[in-house]
Parts: sequence; structure tokens; C-alpha cells
Amino acid sequence: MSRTRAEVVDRNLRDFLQGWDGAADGTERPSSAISGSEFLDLVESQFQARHLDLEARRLKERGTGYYTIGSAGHEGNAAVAAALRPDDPAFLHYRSGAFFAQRAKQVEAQTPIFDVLLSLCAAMDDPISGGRHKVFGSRDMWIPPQTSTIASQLPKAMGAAFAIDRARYLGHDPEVSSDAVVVCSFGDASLNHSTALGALNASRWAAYQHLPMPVVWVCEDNGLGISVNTPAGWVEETWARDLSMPYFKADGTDLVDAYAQARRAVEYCRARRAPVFLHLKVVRLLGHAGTDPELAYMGMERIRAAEARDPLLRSCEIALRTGLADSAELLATYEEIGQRVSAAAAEVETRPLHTSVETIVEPLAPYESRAVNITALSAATDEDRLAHWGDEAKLPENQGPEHLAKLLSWGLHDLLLQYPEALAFGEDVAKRGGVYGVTAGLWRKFGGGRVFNALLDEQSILGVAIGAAHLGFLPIPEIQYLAYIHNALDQIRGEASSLQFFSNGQFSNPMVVRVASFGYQKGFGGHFHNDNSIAALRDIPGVVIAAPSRGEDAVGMLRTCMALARRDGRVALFLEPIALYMTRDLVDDGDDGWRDSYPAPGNAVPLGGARVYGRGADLTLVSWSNGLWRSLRAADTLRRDHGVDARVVDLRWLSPLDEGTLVREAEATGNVLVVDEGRRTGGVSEAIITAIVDAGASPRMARYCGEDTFIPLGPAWEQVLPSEEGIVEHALALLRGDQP
Amino acid sequence: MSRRAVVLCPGRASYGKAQLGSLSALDATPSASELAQAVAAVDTRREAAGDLTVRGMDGAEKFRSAFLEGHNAAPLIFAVTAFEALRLDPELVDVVAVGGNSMGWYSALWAAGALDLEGAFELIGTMGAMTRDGVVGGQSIYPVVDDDWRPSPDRAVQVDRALRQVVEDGHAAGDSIRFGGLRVLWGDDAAIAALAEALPTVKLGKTEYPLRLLGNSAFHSQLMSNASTSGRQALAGLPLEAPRVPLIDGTGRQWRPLTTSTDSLLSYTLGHQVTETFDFAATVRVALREYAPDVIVALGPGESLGGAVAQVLIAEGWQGIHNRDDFLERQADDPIVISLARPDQASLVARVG
Repeated sequence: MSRTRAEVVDRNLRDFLQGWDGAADGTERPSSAISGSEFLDLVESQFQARHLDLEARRLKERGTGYYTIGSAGHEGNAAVAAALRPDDPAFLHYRSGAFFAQRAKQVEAQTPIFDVLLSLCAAMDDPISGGRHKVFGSRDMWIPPQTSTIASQLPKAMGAAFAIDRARYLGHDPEVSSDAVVVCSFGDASLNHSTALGALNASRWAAYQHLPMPVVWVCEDNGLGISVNTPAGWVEETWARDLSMPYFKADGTDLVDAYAQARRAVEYCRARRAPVFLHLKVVRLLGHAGTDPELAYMGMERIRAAEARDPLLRSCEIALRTGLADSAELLATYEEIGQRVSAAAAEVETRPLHTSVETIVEPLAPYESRAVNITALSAATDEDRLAHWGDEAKLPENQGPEHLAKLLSWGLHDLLLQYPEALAFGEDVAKRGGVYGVTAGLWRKFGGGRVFNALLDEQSILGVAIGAAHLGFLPIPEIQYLAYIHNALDQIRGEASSLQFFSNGQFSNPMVVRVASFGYQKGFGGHFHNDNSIAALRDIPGVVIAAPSRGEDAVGMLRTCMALARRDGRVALFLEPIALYMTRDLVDDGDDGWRDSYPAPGNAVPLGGARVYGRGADLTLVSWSNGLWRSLRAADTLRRDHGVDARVVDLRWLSPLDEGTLVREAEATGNVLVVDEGRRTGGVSEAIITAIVDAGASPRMARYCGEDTFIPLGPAWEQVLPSEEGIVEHALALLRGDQP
Repeated sequence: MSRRAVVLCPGRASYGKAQLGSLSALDATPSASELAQAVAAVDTRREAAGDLTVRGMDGAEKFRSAFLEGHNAAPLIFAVTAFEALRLDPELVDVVAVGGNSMGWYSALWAAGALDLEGAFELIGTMGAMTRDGVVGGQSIYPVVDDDWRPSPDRAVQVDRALRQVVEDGHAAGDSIRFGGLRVLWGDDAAIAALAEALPTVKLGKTEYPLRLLGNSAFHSQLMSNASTSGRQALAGLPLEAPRVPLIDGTGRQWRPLTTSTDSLLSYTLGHQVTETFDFAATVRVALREYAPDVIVALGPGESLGGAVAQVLIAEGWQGIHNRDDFLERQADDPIVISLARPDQASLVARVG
């Protein structure tokens, strides 16, 4: 029977050791930087990673393992771990088995063999993800777990690096040494991903300005992205000449060279607080994953050539030639580790798997309502507030009513006072105070350390938020327009929202992402400043979506979002309606109906709580944000001109939905018109109607939504978004029983 | 077929009345001839110094409290541990890793091949005599498992809280040994008294806790820093080698044959090991998870390690063992923890008779 490539690679090493008849001839010399026992320690980590790869395939064959992407050929990354400290945060990719094994030795009482096997088997006892994904991760080892989204860990690695020195500057405790560096590994193929390039660029952008950015980028270059070749020399050609980031190159199949260069890179990064690029040339063995038919695209000759470059062969050769160990010792150690891995696998295979939704979703959306509410209702001390605002008379709650943008701005001032670990950043948020003035005065009051402009890249903005949140900050990033969050959405969808899930609640990245949102800007700005689509946000598990309409609600909801982030590690998206930022009136000119007094500290809007206007018995209008303002005006017209008495529900929170209030208010009138400024397809209206139907209620229902289109420039926008007049017409039609 | 075994060596207080005569077969056991010679050499020196001899103590008709004193107990215990280790049958067991509890660490160094017998007796004799001039501080035990030997987070919180309180009140106290389901706490005399006040009385089995270990010093604590310093001076030339079998220490760290730095091993043995918490639970946990043995062999004297090992097995849910009854059932069918002191179990791994 022919052997699998895994068996061949395993056999190659045994044959090499058994057949070794060379002498310790001194032709190889370990670097003076590494002792003999340290070198052999790295070799053992390589053996361990290899055996875990081999075991992963056996587990899969037995039907008890679920992941076969391995580290074979990349085991030189053990040298990178050895060059680092165990509290240097490590954002690793999926070929990091030897790095993981090596770092585990730097922290007490770690059990990496067992832990990796648990993860391979998706066992609930997996100490990092609780059986939710095969990841390399550990709280004790400062390895936040990474999933397999391509290069999506680079922005947050950059953010974490930024946060280390920022914490020192601001006097916060980042939980790692003040001279820690971040390490982030990725492959040569994912290096081409715009996410990777964006993060690398952000790190260079910072370094160019002499801003601290201690990150070691490790490109493990095996020359392949699944079946696609990386052009020869491409990585070096692109990065070796970069003047703003030092480039270090090593043969990653050679531990001595890899360790020497890794140390140089790490030392430079640690001392200069600057990003470095470590290019490890490695080889990929055993295909992309267990199921990869690499023979079809590689050919046997090339596969064998790669196998001949097995880093374990090279490590053994160095050990033998230098006389650090003899071939019998190396073979015995290789076999001993293999036996341990197989024995541990037999135990791991018996461990329970998830069999219920409850255990799976447990860490997804933690919510300790009491603790959150207490935090939301608290504030900075009176003394601090008086010092900040000037005197009693200048406290915002002692001012007259103001529009949404002003109240939000005041709210942010109070929150930055209350949470010294809060950071506010984004495009134009500092001196300019944001495009709409919402962050006005924050930079002057709190300084550039906490309130700062970001480079023009939403992935980097969110990456800074995620990374800084890993290190104890409470970021409030601003995304300048809703359309712009879509170009970086994976940072929320794949990364921020999933961290608690994939770390079983051990890591969190609390944050409140403020987004200037929605349409109705009277023809200005076109689609990308009027984007009304949130379908891609609403289905992200665990993410809170706030969509306030008026100032007093917005401040109360922002307080709750911050409390959710702080207490439960949650990610909240805070969608601010641009068109209502400066709106003063509701029904009549000068009625000041949309200006609110600033809610004094001690007031907050609980998560998921809708607000109901009026007690009209004829009709229930359901809306939020711009639609809410229009619905209230339409309700006034309906009452005055048509004798229809409507009540209006402001959902306020789009995730989670206040289904209880929704159903109750729907049943109260028996007629429901949902006014959704988002698109008809995939919009919130679908969820609202569904919730009412699911609850068994059967009111007459209709939807009035934005059209399934992009928003046009100029007055044409009026054709595609719900209007006040349209609401009245739809309401009357509903009450007449017209078919929609 | 030989079974993969982790071998564990016991600490102080493992030799009591029931263990008298453990070495009676020493001279008649050919495989232990080296040990017999080493014990004889030790005894010659002890006799000359006016100390009780190892063979004399073991052969005594009545057990005396003096046998419990460190300078007597340590060599006596080690001699028995070594004698038991020599009985292990390589046809029956393949020793994959070695560890020990507290003083058992010194025995483990020998059992793993990092020290020869002479060196082990020197280490054990020197460190065992460190408290000869008087007890320094004390130890008190408290359980952190329930009656079923499952981890009890509430009890652990109580211990943490009591320790914090005692330290805040200006006493020196902390964890001495994490012994499976028991926490052995150390403190100065006032701290031990305060802990007795602060911790509610609980019963586990027939024993009431907190339980002060009379005559014991505050081992594995900062109060032992003088012992550490003296040990480093007296034992600087200890002929340590890399172990032949992986060793797991009282932090859960592995010391492996190819990669051990003997300087680091000596430094741990006479430094951290003496002055910091000895986490025997971590030793066992790492042994299970990283070596996945078929059996755990607890060497004597006595059976002092069985309960602690069982409690780690339970905490780990190892091989489906989730409480005391599971463990006892397993032991009855196919013992996973083998105490050499029990003839029925010993026959599974050792030459008997």
C-alpha cells in the first residue's frame, strides 16, 4: 500500500536519523546567541508540532478530529517564540504549532499537547475556544485566538502595538510589560490581502511620524497560497526596500539562522518601538490541509523537493554535526513525543462535544443587566465634572435644550471623564471635532493621547479599536459615514464580534463604534454619505446596534453602550442620524420639538428598550431614527387632517429588538405600519413583521420602506426614501384595508 | 506489555508507624545492592555524628516521634522511596515521567537519573537538616474539594480570602503546597493561629480542618530563604546531571533529558522550590495532560499521594473520573493510581516477593 505524504515525511526523518553515519565534525556551528540545550529545546518544539500535525490526520481518519491545516514546514517559527517574551502579545496564524509549543515552555504549568488536541477535536474542554474552533490561543500565554479569516488579525495586531506605548503614556496598565512588543504572523499569500497591506501601511504610517508602533510582522513565506505560487522574490522585492520599516530575512528551515534574525528583529522592535518585517523563508509540507490534492498542481517531483527541505531534517543535521545529540537520542525523543501525542489523543477523543445551542452561544452576548445598568447610571465624580465643565452653571444639564449633535458631544465629554481608559478617534475627530462637530472640544480637553485623528483607513481604525481593547482600553472609534463601515466590516463581522465566542469569554474587545449614518441629507452627498443599509450589521451575533433619533435618548443609549462594553466586553454599533444632528423642530417651525435638555448623570436608556409616543388607538407606527421623526410628524397630520389617532413606537435599538413592546403596541391598535428608512429587502422591517407574526399576533400590517436602490444625488433622493406624506398615505391605505 | 507510567515520590510525613520495617528486605534484594551500600555509607556517617541511623530507625520496634524530624525523616523516606523504585519491573512499566511532592522532588531527581544515590543522600541530608535548630513558622491544611472530592470553588475562595486577610493584618502567610484537593498553607505562628480563626471548621472524611501540621516548618515559603541560601552554599558542587527520564517539578515545568540545563535545575531545586509554593497539583496535571500515562505509580513509604492524585484526576475528568465514587470504582476494577505500598496494586508494576 502506498504511503500518505504524512507517513512519508514521518518516515523520512526516522530514516535520516537511523541512517546517520556522519560525525560531529564541527561543520555546523550553532550561533553564539543560543546554547546547545536551548537549541535542542527548539527542536523538541518542532517535533511536538509535527506530531500534532500527524495526529490531526489520524484523528480525522478516525472521525474524531475536525481540522488538518498544519504547521509542517513552518516549524522554524519556534525560534521566533524563543526570541520573544511570554507577555509579548502574539497574533498567530494557523501554522504556528511550533511557536505555540515553544511559548508554552515560557509560562508555568502549560499543557500545549493536550490543549491543541482538544482544539483539534472541538472538545468542550478546549481551554481557549471551548470547542468552538481550532485556534492557537491562550490567556496565560498572551495569545489571543485567531480564526482563519485571511489576514484579518493584522489590523488588531497593529492596534495592540499602538496601545502598549499609549498605555504607558497615559498611565494605564496594559497588563503586559511596558516594553512589550506585538508579534503577528501570516503567510506570503495573505500578505497580498488588502487587510494585510492596510495594517502594514498603518504601522509604517505611525513609524514615519515616530509614533511608537512596536510590532514584529512575521511573514512565513512558503511560496504558496493553497495552489497558487507566489512569484519568486515577490516578498523580498516588495518589503526589503521599504525605508520606513526595517526588513530582516531568515531561512526559516534553519533554526540557527531563524533564531539569530528573529532576535535581531525583536531587539530592534523592542528598543526602537518601531515596526519590523521578519521574512522567514519556509516550506509547506503535507499540502494546504489534509484534503488538499496537492499532487494535482504540484507534481511529485516538487513535493519531494519540498520534503527534502523539511526543517526537522535540517535541525537534526545541525544537532548531529555539532555533537549536541546523537542520532539515537534524537530518534528516541522524536518517538517519545509521538507516543505522548498519541496517548493524549486517546484521552481527548473521549471528551464531550457541544450538543446544545445553549452551551455554544454562551459567551456570545454576555449581559449582566444589573451591573450594566448600575454602570450606565454612574458618572465621573461631581468634583471632576465641575473641574471639567467650569462651574455648576456650565454643567450641560443646566443648559437649555440642544440638538442631537450637541447633546452627543456633551455626552462624550462626560463619558471620557467617567472612563479614563476611553479613547476617541477616527477621521477628523481631533482638532476639527468631527465632520458634524460631535467630537468638538474633546481633543482640547482630553489631549491628543486620548482623542486623535486616524489615517484614512477604516480597517485600521477598527483594528486600533480591537487591539487597544485587548489591552484594557475602551475605544470609541468613529466611522465617518455608514457606507465606510462596509469597506472594513470584516473587522466587526469576523474579528471584534467573534473574539468572546472563540475565546470562550477569556478575551474581549469592548468598544462603542460611532457611525454617522443614514440618508435624508436633502440631496447632498449622494449614496456614500447617505447610505441606509444595515442588513450586513444586523445579523452579526452578539453585536448591539443602537439607532437613536433624538438627543436625550442618544445620550442615555450611549451611556448604556459604554457600560455594556465595560462590564460585559460587548461591541456596540452606535448609528447616529446625520440628518437629525442639527434638527431643532418637530412639527412646526420654531417649536423646538427636537431639541432636548441634556440628561443629567444617573439617566440611561436600558438595552433594547423601545420608546412609545402617544396612546392613539387607531394605528401603531413603528420606526426609528429619521423615520421616527417623520412618523411623529405624520401622526400629527393624521390626527389633525384625518382624525386618525396613532401611537408611535421608537425602537431605538435595532439589535436586540424590543419584541415585547412591539407586539404589545401592535395588538393595542390592531393596525401596524412599519416605517423603515432602510431598504425593503433585508431591512429591519422584515424582522419587525416577523416578530409580530411569530408572537401569534395578527394585526393588519404594512411596510413603508426605502427602495432597493442606492441613494441618488440631488432631489431624486425623495423618490427612494419614505416621506412624511407617504407615511400618511400608507397609513390611510392600511386603515382602509387596501391591498399593498 | 509494559504500561506507560508516571512515577511520583512522596514528601515528608509519609513514613509512620505502619512503615517500620520497609527496608528489612534491602540486603536480600540483589537489584538494590547499590542502595544497600549507599544506605550503609550514610549510616556510617550518621552513627559517627551521633545521629539515628536509617536502618536503625526502620528496624526499630517502636516508632518514635524523633523519626519525624527532618534530619531523620528525610533520609529514611528517601531510602524507602528508592527501594520501592528499584522494585519497578521494566517488563511491566515504561516510566515516561517522574515527579514528587515537596521533599519528594529530591527523590524524583534520583528516580529520573539526575542524581546518583550519593548525591541524593547528600541533597536530602543537607536540606532535611535545615530546620534542625528549630521549627520555622508552620503549616496548616484546608480542603478545597467537597465530600465527593470535586473542586469546591467556594472553599477555594474562603482560603484566598483568609490568606488575604491574614496578610493584610501584617502576617506572613501563603500557599505552601497545592496538594490536590488540599491546600497546605504556610505562615508565621501568628498567621497560622489567625488562619485557624478565619477559616470555618469543615470535615472531609473523618478529619477536621483547618489542621495544623505539628512540628512542620513553613516549607516552600519565603521563611525558608535562609535554608535556600545555606543550601546553595553547601550544595554548589552537587553532581546534578540532565535527567534520563523527563522530570516534572513543583511548578509544572518539565525538565527533559536533552534540554535540561543543570545550572537551572540546581537553581530551581535550591531556590524557587524551597521558597515558593510547591504546586503538586500542577505536577500531576501536567503529567496527565502532557504524558497521558496508562497508570500513575505512587511510590512509598505509605500511601500519602493517592488521595491528592485522585483529586487531580477528578478535577481533570480524566478517563471519565468525575468524583470519588468514580475513582474508587475505577481503582477496584483496574487501578489507575498504583500505590507500591499496597501489595495487590504493587504486583501490577513491580517485582513482588
